[in-house]
Amino acid sequence: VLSVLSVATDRLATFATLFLGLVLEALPFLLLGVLASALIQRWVPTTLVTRLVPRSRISATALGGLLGMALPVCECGVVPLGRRLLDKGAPLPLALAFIVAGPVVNPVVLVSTWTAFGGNPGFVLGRFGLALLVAILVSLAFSLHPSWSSLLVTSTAEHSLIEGKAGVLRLATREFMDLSRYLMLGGVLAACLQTFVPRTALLALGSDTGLSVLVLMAVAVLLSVCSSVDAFVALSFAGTFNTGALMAFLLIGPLVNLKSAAMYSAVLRRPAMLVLWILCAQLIFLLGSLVNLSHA
Amino acid sequence: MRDRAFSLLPGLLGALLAWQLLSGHIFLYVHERSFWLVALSVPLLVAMSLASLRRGAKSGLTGWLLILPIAIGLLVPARPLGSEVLAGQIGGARLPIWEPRVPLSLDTSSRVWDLKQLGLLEPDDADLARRLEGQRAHLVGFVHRTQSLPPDRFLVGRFVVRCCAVDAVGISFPVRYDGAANLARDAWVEVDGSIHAATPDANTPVVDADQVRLVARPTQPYLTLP
Repeated sequence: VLSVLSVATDRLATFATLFLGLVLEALPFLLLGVLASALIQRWVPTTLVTRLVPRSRISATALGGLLGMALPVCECGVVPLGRRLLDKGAPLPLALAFIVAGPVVNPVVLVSTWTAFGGNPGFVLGRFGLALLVAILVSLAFSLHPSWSSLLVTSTAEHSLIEGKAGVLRLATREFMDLSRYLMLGGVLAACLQTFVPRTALLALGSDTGLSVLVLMAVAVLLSVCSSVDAFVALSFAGTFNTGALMAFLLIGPLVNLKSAAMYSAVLRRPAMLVLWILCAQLIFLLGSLVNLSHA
Repeated sequence: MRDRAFSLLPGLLGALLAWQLLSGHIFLYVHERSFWLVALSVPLLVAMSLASLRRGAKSGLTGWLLILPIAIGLLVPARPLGSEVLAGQIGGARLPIWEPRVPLSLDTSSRVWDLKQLGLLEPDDADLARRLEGQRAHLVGFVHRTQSLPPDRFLVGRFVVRCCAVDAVGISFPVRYDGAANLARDAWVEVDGSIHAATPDANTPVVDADQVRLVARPTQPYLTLP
C-alpha cells in the first residue's frame, strides 16, 4: 500500500510541476495577446486598412496575409477584425487571408514560438512561412468563386467585439477569462500525457510520418489552445513527436478548432466554412508530412 | 455574487505567481529568463481583477478552470522533476532541437567535466570511454537508480530545460561508489571523481567517486540551455 501511495504521490507531484510549468510560462504571452487585441479593437480604425487595399486579387491576398504581422491578435481577435474588414468593403480574399494567417504570423505568436523552441529560427520561420502559404493558397481558391459575397453571412450588430464602453482593461479581462480555459485544458492534457502515458507508446505514435501529423492535428482541433500560447503545448510533445507533426499542430490549431467554430459562423456560411477548414486541413497535413519526409 | 467571485480569479492567480516568485519556487517550473515575464504578469492580473470587480465577469462553468493552477499551486507541494520522470525518459529518443549547437570538445585533458557536458555527449559513441579515461568530473544532481545497475553504482541525474518543465530532458551519468546503496532516491548529491571505463562493458564510462556529499537542492534545480 505504501509503495502504491508513494507512486501516486510522485505522479501527482510530476503532474503538478508539468502543468504549472506550462501555465506559468504561457500566461505572460496570453496576457500580452489579450491586451494587444483589446488595444487594437478599441483604437485602430479599420478604415485605415481598407483605404490601402490593392485591386489585384493576388496583391490583396498577400496584403491580407501580411496584415496579421501588424496586428498582434490571436484567433479570437482575428475573426471579429476580419468581419470588420469585410464590413468596410475589403474583398473576401484579403479578409480571408487575414483570418487564416493572422493568428499565426503576428508578433506575439512568433515571439512565443521563439521562446518555446529555444530560439530555433528554422521552426519560427517555418511556422510563419507555411501559415502564410496556406492562407494565400486557400484565399486564392476562394477568390475563384464567381460570387464570393454569397459565401458570407449577412452582417449583424452583434458580430463585433470592438463595440462597447468597456475600457481596454475590461475588454482584455473578458478575453483573458474566455481564453484561459483552453490554456488550462491544454495544460491538463499535456501534463497528463507526459505523466501517465508511457513514453515508448508516444514515441511509436509520434515517429510515424503521416500518423503522427494526423494525431497532433486532431489534438490541436480538440484542445483549441490560443495561438499566443500553443507553442508551449506543442513543446510538451517535442520529446516524442516528430517535427512535421509539431508544425501541423501549430498551423492547424489557430485555424480549425472547436472554440472558433462559432466565431467563423459569424463570417462565413456553414458550407463555405467547412470547405475552408477541409482545404486548410488537407494542405496542413500535406505540409506536415513533407516536413517529416524532408527530415527522414 | 458569482460573477464577482469569478472576477477575483485573475487577482488570486496574480497572488499565486507573486508567492512563487518570492519563494523561488518559480524555478521549479520555468527557465530563469522567464522570471521577469512572470513578474510583469502579477500587476496586470491584479489590475484585471480590480477593473472587472465592480461589474463582475461573466463566465460559464468551464471559465472556472482558471481556478486549477491556484488550487494545484496551493495544495500540491512544490517539487522539481525527479527520478520518477527520468526513469520514463531513459532510452527515449531525442529530437534534433535538443542537439547541442556547438559540439563539446573532448581534447582538453585539464577540464573538469560537469553533468551537463557529460549528459549531452552522444551515449552511443563507442570511443567515448577511451577518450574520457582519467579525466576529472564534478557532478551535482539527484540520485537515481535503475534495476540493471550493480549495487555499487547509481546515476546522478538532472533535467535540462530550454523553456519550462514540460520540455525538460533528463540527463544522467553513472557513478561507482561503495556507499551507493545507502543513498536515498532523489537525494541531492555532489560527486567528485575521475572517469574510467566501466566493467564489464568497457565502452561505458563511469565516474569513480572520490567523494560523495549530500547537499541541499539548488535554488535552480534544472540546468538550462540558451
